[in-house]
Amino acid sequence: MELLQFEHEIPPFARMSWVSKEVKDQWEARMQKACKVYSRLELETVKHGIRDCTTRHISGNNLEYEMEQLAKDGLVFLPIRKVGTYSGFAHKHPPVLQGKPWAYYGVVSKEPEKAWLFSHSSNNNSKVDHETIGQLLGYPKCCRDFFDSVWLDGYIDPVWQQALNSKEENIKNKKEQFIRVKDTVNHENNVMLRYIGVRIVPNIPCSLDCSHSLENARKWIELGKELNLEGVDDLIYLLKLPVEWDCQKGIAYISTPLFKIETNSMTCYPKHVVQKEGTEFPKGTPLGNKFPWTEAWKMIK
Amino acid sequence: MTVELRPLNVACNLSCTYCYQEPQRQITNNQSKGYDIDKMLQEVDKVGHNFNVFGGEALLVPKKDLERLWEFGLKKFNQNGIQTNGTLIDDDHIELFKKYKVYVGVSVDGPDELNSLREVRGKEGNDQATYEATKKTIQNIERLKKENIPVGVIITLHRLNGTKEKIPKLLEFVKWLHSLGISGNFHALEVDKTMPDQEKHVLTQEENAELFITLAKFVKEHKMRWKPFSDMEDMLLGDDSQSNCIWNRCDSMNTSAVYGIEGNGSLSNCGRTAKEGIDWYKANDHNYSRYISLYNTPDEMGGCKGCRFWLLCGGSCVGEAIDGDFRNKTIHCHTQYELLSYYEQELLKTGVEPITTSEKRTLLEKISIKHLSMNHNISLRQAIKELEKSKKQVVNLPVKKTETTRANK
Repeated sequence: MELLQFEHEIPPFARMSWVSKEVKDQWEARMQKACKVYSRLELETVKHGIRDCTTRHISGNNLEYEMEQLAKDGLVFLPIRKVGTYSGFAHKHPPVLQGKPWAYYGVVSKEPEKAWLFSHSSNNNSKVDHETIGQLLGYPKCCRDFFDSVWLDGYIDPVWQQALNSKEENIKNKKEQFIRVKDTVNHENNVMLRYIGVRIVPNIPCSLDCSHSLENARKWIELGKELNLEGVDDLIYLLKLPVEWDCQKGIAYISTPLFKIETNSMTCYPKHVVQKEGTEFPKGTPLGNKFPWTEAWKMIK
Repeated sequence: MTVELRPLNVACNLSCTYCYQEPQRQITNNQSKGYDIDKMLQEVDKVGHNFNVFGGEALLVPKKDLERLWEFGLKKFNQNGIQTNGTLIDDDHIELFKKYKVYVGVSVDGPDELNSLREVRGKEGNDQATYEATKKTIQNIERLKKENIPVGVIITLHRLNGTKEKIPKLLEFVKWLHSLGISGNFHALEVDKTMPDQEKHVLTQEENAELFITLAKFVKEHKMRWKPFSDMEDMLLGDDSQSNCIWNRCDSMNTSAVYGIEGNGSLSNCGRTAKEGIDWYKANDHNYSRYISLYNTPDEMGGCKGCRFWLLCGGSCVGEAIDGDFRNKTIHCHTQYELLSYYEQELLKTGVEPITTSEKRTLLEKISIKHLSMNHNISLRQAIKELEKSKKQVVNLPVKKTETTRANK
């Protein structure tokens, strides 16, 4: 995958559009719950010892309150640096601009020394220690290595690379810039909706069939169910939908039977496309003339 | 902004082989889901803007319902509009148009065989039926003008009305419209891979460019004001205040130019952005990343890098992007480029330097990119104002002293 050199970066953003008003009315609140449950699980997994650390962005105005709330759960927040705030999704932290809103980016942990280790690994002047950071966040070793091999080369949104790494038996069709993944692949490893907060694994799995990420994801789901968190089922359902991710020239476009997303991404050219077949398809949603909306025709026929 | 009220969605009595709404019709089988006028008018009320009744074919809406809509429109905005193929207009419609101050936009590609891609639905392949329908449209245009109803025309250009053999007849038609006091918009046929039949009707890039330049010369010679020509002249002089939507950096998820209101009151976008066959619900926010992307992408990769016209067109209509992908520039780039170059030369001949060849262009581009990076769309005029402000001096914009400037129009 070749990346174009852009003189002007596409600013962070992520937004969506629903296939119809009816679908929006039916799904908007459910999706919000699905996003909320993931956000909650990020903390709960640390609290319950599934992993050591997670990260948080806290506005300066809310710092005391948020730290107090975390402390009630036995968690500490250690600010690492100030970062510019943004709406939508960013692959890296925007800088703080004078007169513009900012927030503290920091680490949350049960153990202050783990938080300190995370902070130290992030702020090491000579080199950011991604290996230690990944370990503390509970990312599997294979995915940490994957991150090192792709993200550091500028592939900041490596969905294509992830699909490319998947097992042959799970690939239905592969052309030069096109991969279609079978529905046999685990939906838990689907990170194509993470731009709007819909995900269950915190890392980018090294492949769509990564067993270690899958194992982690299942622990998260189990915890969510144990805690009776609202939204777990909707989150899983959304991840099971057929989805197409494509990317070119700094913008990714993601389509599902319910909505589409646009977000900042890699400056690749030509367009790269990943399709993941789904195991769920909502009834009564509009039909279209291409994947994934054509999948509904199969149900009707 | 145009508010398009679409009670019947894309349902139409014609079956124009090239219509950009055809992907949606194939999926809905040309059927509407019905409509609720109260819900639609509630949305109009929220938007607070006059509206056009749109389709498909808008005159398939029963007259009593049209009357309800226009009664509201007249009371609220003192004006109304409709876009129609003109085949169904009858005496009652004429009365309604007059009573409710309805501006009528007619889509027609010329007389006789020039309009033969606009076939009658259910009678596809029946030349006589198409001929009769076209005749009705032409008669109705004449009638509308006789009745003092304001009319504009959209002419789509393709192989049946835009080749060298057909141009004389097309020009005669334009002249005839001019004699009635009618002008409008020329539109190059777009190619869409969802409609393979289109390819045989579309003119090549070179043919389109040549045709548009011929039309530009004709329009100038006869002192007419048709789009896109007037837009191009104005924009090269630094004025985009009246320019068509295709120049205004439209956002595919939330088209500013078109605020669609469907039969159930839901909000939609310009139909040109529904190539997937889905009438997307309007997004909550705007985003202009497409235009930053195009500014940075080389021409051969579907971008505008280094193009002096990016400041004016930004890559042009998102609904006409290459391969139906909003990250590409328009399929009509070559035509627009040639036409803008033509007008540039015309200005230079009269001793006026267009904004695109002026040294201020780079500064204006920087201003534009700065705003787009903050997710703010800025017009050419606003950018010029900002430049003036930053330099604390007036930017000496070219002023064309010919009969076609807006000031002495």
